[in-house]
Amino acid sequence: MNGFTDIVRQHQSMVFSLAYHFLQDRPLAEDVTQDVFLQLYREQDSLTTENHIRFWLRKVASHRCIDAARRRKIRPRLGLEEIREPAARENSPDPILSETLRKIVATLPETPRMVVLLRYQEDMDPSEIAETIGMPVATVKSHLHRSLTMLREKMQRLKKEIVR
Amino acid sequence: MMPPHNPDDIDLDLELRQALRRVEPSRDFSALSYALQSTAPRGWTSSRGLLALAAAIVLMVSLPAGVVQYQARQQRREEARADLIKALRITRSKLEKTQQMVVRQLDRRNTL
Repeated sequence: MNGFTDIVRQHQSMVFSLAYHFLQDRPLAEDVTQDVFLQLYREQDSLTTENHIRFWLRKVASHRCIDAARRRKIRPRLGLEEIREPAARENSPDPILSETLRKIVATLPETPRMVVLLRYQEDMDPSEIAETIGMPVATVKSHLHRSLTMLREKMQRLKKEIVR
Repeated sequence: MMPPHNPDDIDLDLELRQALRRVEPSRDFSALSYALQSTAPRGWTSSRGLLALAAAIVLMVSLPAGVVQYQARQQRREEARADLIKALRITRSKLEKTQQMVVRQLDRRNTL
């Protein structure tokens, strides 16, 4: 077993998940993941520590995802009729609610979408996200605030639609 | 400024974490590293390098086929040229014979 293989095994679900949640397209997410690891293979000599590798992968994956989405020029538009009714709230995770949230997140513009993914998939705080994407912390916080407000509004609208 | 917290916010946080949890890819990308190490030296795996490799393979495969096709076309052309020359020779020979017959007929008529 060599070092590069270990690194890929260790981080492939993180890179793929970022791409998959961001693009909502499994084949495209796999292409992006492969590109990220190809680039890592070329540059692995310059990455020495585990933290550096993780930071580098998140940074490159974020930028590659945004580029791929811009090239594709499609941002999913979500109609309320496309969303199934979430089950009654329980302590266990609700797969339909999760799917609904993923779909709503996918309608966010590229940069706020990536901010939300890094916050909730990778559990990063705003300063880490700011460093990864290369933007001021205040901008990250603003994106998070606006995105969460939008998500909440869409969920409220959805609830009203279901009640009616 | 972060959004104000209320019980719904906490739920949304939890639900987002749940919805956006990591998923496993269907492909194992670590296999990629074996392919890279066995086929190309490090630093040669750029998209441009891979494209160049693909182009070279396509060229190597298509070039012999192109050469064979060219040779076959050339051979057909040579054969057609040979057929045409043969046909012209036959025509010329027949014309010469006809001319000789005409000359002989005219000579015979003159002697009579």
